[in-house]
Amino acid sequence: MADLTAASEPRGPKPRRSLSPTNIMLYGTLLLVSVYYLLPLYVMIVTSLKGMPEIRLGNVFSPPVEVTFEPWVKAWAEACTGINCEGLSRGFWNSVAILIPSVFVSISVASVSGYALANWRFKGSETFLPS
Amino acid sequence: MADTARKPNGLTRNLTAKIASVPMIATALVIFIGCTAWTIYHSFTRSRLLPAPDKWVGLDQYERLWNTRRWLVSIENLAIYGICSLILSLVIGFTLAALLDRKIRGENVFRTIFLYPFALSFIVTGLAWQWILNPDFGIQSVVQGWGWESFAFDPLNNREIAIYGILIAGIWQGSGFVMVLMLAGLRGIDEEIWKAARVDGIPTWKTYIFVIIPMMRPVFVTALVIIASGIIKVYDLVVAQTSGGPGIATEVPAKYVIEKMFQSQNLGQGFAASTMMLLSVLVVLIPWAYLEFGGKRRG
Amino acid sequence: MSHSVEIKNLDLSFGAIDVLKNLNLDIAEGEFLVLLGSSGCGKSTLLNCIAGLLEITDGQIFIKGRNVTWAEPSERGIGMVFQSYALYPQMTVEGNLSFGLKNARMPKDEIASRVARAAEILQIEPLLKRKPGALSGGQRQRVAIGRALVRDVDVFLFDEPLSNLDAKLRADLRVELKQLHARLGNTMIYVTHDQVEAMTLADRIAIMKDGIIQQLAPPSEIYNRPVNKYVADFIGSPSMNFLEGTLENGSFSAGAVSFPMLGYALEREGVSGQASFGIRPEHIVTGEAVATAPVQLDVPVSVVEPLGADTLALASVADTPFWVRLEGEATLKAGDTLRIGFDPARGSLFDAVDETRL
Ligand SMILES: Nc1ncnc2c1ncn2[C@@H]1O[C@H](COP(=O)(O)OP(=O)(O)OP(=O)(O)O)[C@@H](O)[C@H]1O
Ligand SMILES: [Mg+2]
Repeated sequence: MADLTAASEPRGPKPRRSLSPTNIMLYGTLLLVSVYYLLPLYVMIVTSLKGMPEIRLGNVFSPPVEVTFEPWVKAWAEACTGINCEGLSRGFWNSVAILIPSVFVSISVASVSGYALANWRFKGSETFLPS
Repeated sequence: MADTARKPNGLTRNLTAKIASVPMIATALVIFIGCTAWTIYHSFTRSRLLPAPDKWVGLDQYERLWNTRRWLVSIENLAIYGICSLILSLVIGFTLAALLDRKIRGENVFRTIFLYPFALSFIVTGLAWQWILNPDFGIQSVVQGWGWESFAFDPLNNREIAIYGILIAGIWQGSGFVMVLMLAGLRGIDEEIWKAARVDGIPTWKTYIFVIIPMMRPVFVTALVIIASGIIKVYDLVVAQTSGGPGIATEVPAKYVIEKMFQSQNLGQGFAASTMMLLSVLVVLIPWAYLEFGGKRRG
Repeated sequence: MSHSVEIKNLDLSFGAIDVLKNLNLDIAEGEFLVLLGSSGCGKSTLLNCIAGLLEITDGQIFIKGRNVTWAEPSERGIGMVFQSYALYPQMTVEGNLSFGLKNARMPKDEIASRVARAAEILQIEPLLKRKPGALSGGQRQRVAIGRALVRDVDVFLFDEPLSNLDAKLRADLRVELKQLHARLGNTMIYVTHDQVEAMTLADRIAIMKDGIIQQLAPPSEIYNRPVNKYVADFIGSPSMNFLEGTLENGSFSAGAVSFPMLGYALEREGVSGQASFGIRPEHIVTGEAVATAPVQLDVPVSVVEPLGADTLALASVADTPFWVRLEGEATLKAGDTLRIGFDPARGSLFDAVDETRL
């Protein structure tokens, strides 16, 4: 008897609609929030590909009519910061020159301190935390 | 527990650890405490372009500070920005983390999207949002272009809500990192806790509120510290987005300090303002530290 | 016999990995069933399927005659106890016990009486106001059992509940669990890889390997009549000694050793061929008892391990290592020759190829 009814009874995985309300809510929220997070990136990229006249004319969201990489090149090689006009390339190398020693120093200080903290805390907390 | 057998005495216990921490402690003491004391002392003087330790004026600088409208607006703005960004970052960060933790598809993609703003500087963030919020180029003009002529969204030029325009950018930049922290915290929760809650018939949202969030207390504390440091850094964002304008609508205390010290050549006033900032941090920090660490020993 | 839990043709796979394969299991009302097997054989997975914590790939699950294949864990009439206790750390013991009930909007006095009853049964009344962090492992596990108890369910599921405890506590709680079962009379399904727990607690043991139940039988049958070499080897410590050889005309021979399988009930009459003969170390006799044993051998001893209550000696029979258990503290040294005897009827014969019992 059990076998007769078994055919129509629940069996195997519970059927799920892939468009369940929960899923719509979940992915809907995530997509909506993604728009908020991606908007500035989009604006930055689009704007960087536009020529100056176009930037003045349209809004920041419109895709570039005439794609130009000139701003990129300019930013790298010619843009003026302060008195010298070598663009980001100089700043970039300066950043690297600062970054490497500072990363080195801060990692060494942090690891020594981290070691100290880890050890100290562990030994001290032994009395409080029964293991 | 084998260590309890040999009870090391106070000084030699963790000797290596103590030696290793000397640079850190020394740096902290000399730089932090030393500079703080120096700053506080000079806030009681009439220092202008240069520190003038001999021109003692008592509380004069503080009196002037609290009679300056710009300072009061700054404080108010920081309070609004601070409270809103604290609440919103925690809520958004946790919600996003919880959504990502629901075993969804494309988790990595979403995580990257939410996190990348954190890698951008406040200056870039400020500029990008300045464009987007600009009434002539940004959202307002686009929506109006769709035919909704009366649509108005121009927070950065409206004194009443300009600080919220900055908030939008601040949240955008910082909440992704909070989300990642929260996600790491959620991943650290024992899978069996979730199973136990399901067997008990607790709905997912209730499990989050009554079981998971209380368990994530340390993560929330870490997130709080990170958000707080973001609140202090709001200076950059203001400079890039509005330069404190319109008028003085988006001034913040740090900006006041910097301008007094380096532009108005009024060091004493700047020091007084920064001492007030330090004081307010302590007012928040000390009760919290007392609860956090003092409470444990008693309990 | 009324069924409490019935599993029909259960399949479960994680992507391409098939963990459980066409598994069938009937558990009677009030039975204490132990799932035993080596690590990774799918015991927890099976338990989670019964609980509804994992979605099965195919098959059906009935609890108390009701098809619960698609039911939520909380609707299945099960309570579960986890290895890591999985208590809610920020709630008191009382909160842990009552959280599920409160959530189900049960009347307050009903909750109170259930919590009180569970606390009384498990002797955790003094702990009710404490948080799990302030409890010992044994106390935590009691609370975890209590959380299943208050739900007043038909079936209890335990996933290695004692394996985080030290040996002494484990033995104590084991006895208590047995008493609890006797008192409540619920069906209990218990996962462990501790043989002693399995042998002492179980009405029936299911030995699993690679997602397949090898043998489902009462402990004594599993111990005395294992259905295949895997089960024989898995149960018992030290494990069964095996001699590889041939079975011919009711006689087993391995190398220089040969003996008739007198009194051994073969599954099928008249089989012969390559086979292995297994006998447990504790079924081998020494000393005066050897004289009456059907098989008697002189064997060299290479290792002696005194355990206090008894002594283990590693001997060699037909060039195969052979453990012998001797009563008490034997005065035996490595290098001695030991006279041993055994009754082939107490041993087991397995096919050399498919390893099933002959
Ligand atoms: N989420 C999962 N994804 C993929 N494979 C899994 C998953 N969970 C378990 N497995 C695999 O399923 C098999 C059975 O796992 P299970 O946890 O049931 O073992 P077990 O018998 O309980 O072992 P143990 O005694 O170590 O607890 C293992 O081989 C494991 O690698
Ligand atoms: Mg397991």
